[in-house]
Amino acid sequence: MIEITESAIDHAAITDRVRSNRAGAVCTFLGTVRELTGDRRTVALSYESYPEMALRKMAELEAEARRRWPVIELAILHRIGDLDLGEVSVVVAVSCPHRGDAFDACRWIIDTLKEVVPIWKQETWEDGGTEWIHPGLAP
Amino acid sequence: MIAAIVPAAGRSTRMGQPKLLIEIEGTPMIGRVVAALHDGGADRVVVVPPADGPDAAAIAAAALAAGAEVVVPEVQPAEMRDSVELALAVLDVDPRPDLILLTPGDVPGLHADLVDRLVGESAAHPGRILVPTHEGRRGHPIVLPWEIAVHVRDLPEDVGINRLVEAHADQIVEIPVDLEMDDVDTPADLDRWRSLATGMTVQVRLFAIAREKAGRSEIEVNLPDPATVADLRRALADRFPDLDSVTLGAMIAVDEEYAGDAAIIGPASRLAMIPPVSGGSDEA
Repeated sequence: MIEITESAIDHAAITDRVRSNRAGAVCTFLGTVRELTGDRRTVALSYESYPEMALRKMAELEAEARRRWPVIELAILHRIGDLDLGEVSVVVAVSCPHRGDAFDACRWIIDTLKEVVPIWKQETWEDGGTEWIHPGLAP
Repeated sequence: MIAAIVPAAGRSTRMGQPKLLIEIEGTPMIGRVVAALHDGGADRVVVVPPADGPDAAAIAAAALAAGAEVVVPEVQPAEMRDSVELALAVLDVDPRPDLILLTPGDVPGLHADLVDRLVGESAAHPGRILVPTHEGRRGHPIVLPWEIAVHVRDLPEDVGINRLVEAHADQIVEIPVDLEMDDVDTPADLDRWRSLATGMTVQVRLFAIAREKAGRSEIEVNLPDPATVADLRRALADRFPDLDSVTLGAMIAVDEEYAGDAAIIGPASRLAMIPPVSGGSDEA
C-alpha cells in the first residue's frame, strides 16, 4: 500500500493492516513533527510533494524491499500539507516471517525514502524564519 | 505613413556566403524581412544593397521581388548609417513618413506579427523610440519617429545609429517580444536561430524553494528539439537569473525519473526541477 495524503494518518490502522498469520514480526516506523531542532523551535511544518514522481518512487521502494527481504505486507504513507507538532508525517509498516528482516526492511525503506522521494519539508521557526528541507539531498 | 529602412550593404564576411540570400523556408532572408515589414504595416520599404560586388544584383533583385524600393548607392557605404542616410534622403519628400522602422536585412526571426505589434504600440507611445526586447536583449526593428530619424544626418561621421538612440535614451520604450530579434553574423548564429525557431516549448514544474523563488509552480522554456538536460539547465539559467543558484544545484527529473545532463528531452517529456536542501537537519 502506497499513499500520499493530506489527512491525518491512523498509524494503528496501518499497522493492523500489514499483520498476517504468515508474519512473525511487524515493524512500524513513524516520523513525527519535532518541536526542537538543536535550539531552534518549530512552530509550523508543511510538506510539499511532486505527487506523480513521489508515488512512483515509493512504489519502486516497495518493489525493491520485496526483492531484498521476504516481505509479506508493506505500507508506506506520507502526509503532505500543514502538520501540527507531534503529528505523524510518515508511516512505514512491514511484516515479515522474522523480526530481523522486518527491522532491516523498515529501516532501509525510510532511509531510502528520505533520499529519493521528492517530498520537501518547510520549517517555520519560532523566530518567523522559514526553511525548505529535503534531508536526502543535504550536502 | 510608415516607412521601413533596411540597410543591406554589408559584406557578410563572417558568414562565408552572402547571408541575405540564404534561404529560410524557401525565401532569401532579405525578401523575408521585406515581406514581414510590408505585411506588418510598412507602406514603403527601402532597401540599400551593396554598391557593387558579386551579390549586389541578386540582393537588389530579391528585395524588389518582395516589393521593396531599392536604392543602389554610388559608392559602397562604409557604415550602416551611410546606407540609412541614403534611404532617409529618398524618403525626405512629401508625404514624409511619420515613423521609420529600422532593421538590418539579416534578422531571420522578423515576422509581420511583430512589426504589426510595434506599429500598434507606437500609436500608444507617440514621439517615442520603440525597441523590441527579448530576455533583456534589444533586437530589431527599432521604431523611430521621423523627427528623430532625420538626425542620423547630423551624427558625426565616425559614429553609428546607436549613438542617436543613446542620445534619446529617455524616450525609449522597450517592447518585450517572445523570440530573439537579433541579426545573424555567423553560421553558428544561424544554426542557433534555426534551432530556436524550429525548437520546442517545454514546461518545467517547480517545487519547494524553486517554486518560491520563481513565484510560480511551472515555467516555460524554449529548447531545440531534441534537447538534453544540459540544454535545459543552460536555458533555465539564461532565462531565469533569479533561479540561478537553485538551478545549478537542482536535480532534473524527466518523466518522473532523476536524469543526468546527457538525458534526452522531447516535446512530450514531463519535466521537473527537484531542488536541493536549503540546509538543515538530517533527521526525520
